[in-house]
Amino acid sequence: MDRPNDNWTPFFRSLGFRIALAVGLMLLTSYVVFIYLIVDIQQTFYFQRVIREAERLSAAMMNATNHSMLRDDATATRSIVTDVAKQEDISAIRIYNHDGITKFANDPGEVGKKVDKQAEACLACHSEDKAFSEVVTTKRTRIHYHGDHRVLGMITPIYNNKSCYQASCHVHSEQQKVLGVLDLGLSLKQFDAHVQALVFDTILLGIVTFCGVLGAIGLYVTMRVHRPITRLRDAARKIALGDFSDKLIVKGSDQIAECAKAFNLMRDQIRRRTQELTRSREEYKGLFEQVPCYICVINRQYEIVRQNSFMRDLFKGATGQHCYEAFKKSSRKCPDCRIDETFENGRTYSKAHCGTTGVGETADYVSYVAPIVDEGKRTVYAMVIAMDVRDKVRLETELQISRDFQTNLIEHSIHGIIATDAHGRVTIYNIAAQNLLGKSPEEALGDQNLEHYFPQEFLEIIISSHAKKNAGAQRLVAQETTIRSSAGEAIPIRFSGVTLFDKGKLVGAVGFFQDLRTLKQLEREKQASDRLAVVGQTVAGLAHGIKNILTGLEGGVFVVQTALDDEDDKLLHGGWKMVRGNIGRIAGLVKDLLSYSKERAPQYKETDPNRLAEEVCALFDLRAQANSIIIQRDFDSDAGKMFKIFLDQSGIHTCLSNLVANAVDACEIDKRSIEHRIVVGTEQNSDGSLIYKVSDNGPGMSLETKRHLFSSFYSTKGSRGTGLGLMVTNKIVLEHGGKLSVNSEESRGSVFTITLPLAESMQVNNGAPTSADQLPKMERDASAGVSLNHHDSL
Amino acid sequence: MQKKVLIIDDEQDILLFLGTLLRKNGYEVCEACDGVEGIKKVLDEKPDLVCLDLLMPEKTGIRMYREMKKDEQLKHVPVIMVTGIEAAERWEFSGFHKFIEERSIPGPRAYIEKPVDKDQFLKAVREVLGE
Repeated sequence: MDRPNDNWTPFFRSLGFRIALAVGLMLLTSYVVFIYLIVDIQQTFYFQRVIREAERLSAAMMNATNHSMLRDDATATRSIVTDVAKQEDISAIRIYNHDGITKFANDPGEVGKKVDKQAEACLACHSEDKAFSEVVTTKRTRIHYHGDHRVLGMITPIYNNKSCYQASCHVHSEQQKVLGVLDLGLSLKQFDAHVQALVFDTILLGIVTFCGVLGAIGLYVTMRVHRPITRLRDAARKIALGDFSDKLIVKGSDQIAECAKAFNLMRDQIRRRTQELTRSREEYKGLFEQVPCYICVINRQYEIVRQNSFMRDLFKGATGQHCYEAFKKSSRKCPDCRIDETFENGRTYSKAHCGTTGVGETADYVSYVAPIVDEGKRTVYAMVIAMDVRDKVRLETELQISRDFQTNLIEHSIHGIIATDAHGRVTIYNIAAQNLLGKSPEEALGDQNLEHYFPQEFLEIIISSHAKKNAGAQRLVAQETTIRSSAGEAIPIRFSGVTLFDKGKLVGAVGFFQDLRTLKQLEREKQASDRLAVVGQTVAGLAHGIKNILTGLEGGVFVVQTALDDEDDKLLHGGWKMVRGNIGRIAGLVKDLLSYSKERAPQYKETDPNRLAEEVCALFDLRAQANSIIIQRDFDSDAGKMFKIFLDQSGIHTCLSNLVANAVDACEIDKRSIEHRIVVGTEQNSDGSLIYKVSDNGPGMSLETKRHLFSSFYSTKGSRGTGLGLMVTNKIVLEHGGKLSVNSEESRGSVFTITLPLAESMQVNNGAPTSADQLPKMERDASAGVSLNHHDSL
Repeated sequence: MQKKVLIIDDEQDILLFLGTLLRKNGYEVCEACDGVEGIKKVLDEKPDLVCLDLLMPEKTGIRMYREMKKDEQLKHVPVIMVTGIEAAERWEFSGFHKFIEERSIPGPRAYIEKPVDKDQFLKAVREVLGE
């Protein structure tokens, strides 16, 4: 509960009150002194008037009694004394003689009594042992109380004048100077009443005027000091509370007005500074809370004073908790903690930590500790800023695992892998590459002679990439080529390579080498094996073929026999045709078998390809014309001019014959009434390779037929075909290192294309390669080295 | 009464051989060299038996057989299927079997493999014709 005084305390403390109090006190003092002096002066003035009156009365008494005294008329003197004493203000009149005996008195009882010279009134003249003989003019008055009022006593000496000592009545000696003393007692009752009234009036006037002046001063102070200062104080309090809304109204031009102006200026400044401070504080608060890292402030006792939301959310630590409890879930300070150093010398430092999150997971973070200092540059807190590096650590771990995995993958790949950096230095050289090339890693790593490692085609790609001719990765995919080992051995490889770019800049190249030595060996073995298998199939197929032919022969013989029996010439002719046809089939079968079973190297001879094609066309012209089929020549007249053409004339003749015969057969069985046309074409490419193309507009082949096209003994010609023609053709083309491709569509016709590579070099190398493996760029598929192109449908 | 046999085959040699064989054995023979012509001949000649080659250009024997079995007039004409040995192993043939099983269509009365043995062929013809 507030004490009553508390309500007045602000008033008592106010500057207006204090000014008014001080002025009042000074005014009061001045008034008191002034009134005192006024009263004193008046009192003195009036007292002097009383004394002068007493002196006049004394002189009058002296004069009145002088005559009776000279006459020594005691009665007259007594009468005068008594009469004079009857006046209101006269308290007593006494006349003492030289010996101090009262000679006359208005009170008859006092006559004859001797006055005590030691009495107060007498001491004025009669000091100790001093004779009452000297004229006393000062200190003749005394004041004493008579009853309830004061009395002014005045003594007047009666000197021995010439008239006195010469009078005849009672002669006084001439040496006697003073004959006696007149003692007049004048009442001060009226005087005291007057003075008292005067003092009272003066004090009353003083109080009234004091109050008036004090009130005026108080009003003035209130208006001109207290109120403006109160307003200043209230405004200051508002500012202190953060309220900058009110502006002081400045009136006048005095110091307080200037103070108000200064105050308003200060208010504006403070408001601006406060706003800046608030904004800055909000910014810092936002920064503290929202910056994507963990921040906390720790005191010297390792207690968390403040922490941002990230840190709170992750570690679930509370303010006041020890940092090691919150971040490490430990009960003791970390042995490697260096916060002490920060507190001691204000140093910052950083360190990697592994903490524990609020849910018990491991949290890797890097902390930076910085001091927070006070005005005296003393470190009061340490600020810990921690960066979450969990993802980094996880990525590093994953990267390491991935790197180890890739390193293992590369190192133990069954294929050779060689990579270079942007400067063309070998940086990766795995075990398979060592086994392939025979160089040790010490020799290879850092080597810039890339021609020892990569095939020429890839080197050209790398060089063009270096020369910025090609932006973006260039690749060479599954290119079969050879590379020389350090021992000089030519090794067949399948090579894939790619140049590596990062943001358009070449950063390296990598090549993958598949060692084809074993594969090639297996291929050779498989070919031999295939031929053996074909022989097996051939035996079965052959037996069946022979059986077919024999049955056909039997049929023919039966028809001939019937015709002979019936003497039917027409039937005889048909039967004989059957017999001849079956004999022809035997001949064809044997010829095809011989061609297919015999592994022979092509006998290369310089050849005019057009002439060879013409010979084949001429062979079929008659048969074609008989069936209304046109054989059209579409020869490239430049073939063989730019590059000389070497081929096995007999083999290619067989091939072309087979293809044209097939085309004629196809046209013959086509029942559509269209003009059947076979086109035999030649063409030489810019790389020197020769193309023979045989196309027909016959019925084309079904999907099923295309699938069995190169199977032995598969024929669509029933008893007319052996099923070996295309196989033989394909074999011969392969022996030339060439390719036989088929493009066929039902009801549209078929196109058979033989592509023979430029065989000029073959002639130089004794003109007879012994194995198909030595043919350049031989492309073959697993079935029989034939590529099938089907119009969309396959 | 002389029975009429229609031989449908794209090979002239087969037509000649089988035609001669059947004629010599007292049958009347008519011939067609593909399925289109075969259907026409079946309708025109109304044969007692059809010897049908499985694989032919234009219209295969299978397609022709299916058409015959769908036709009320022709569905009762007995058929001997003549096939090459390769064809018998091929998917068309298994597909053909599946087809006739699924639709409960009666299969050909006999299968004769090429090359045709004349005694076996004659035996089959006689059996089918109920002789």
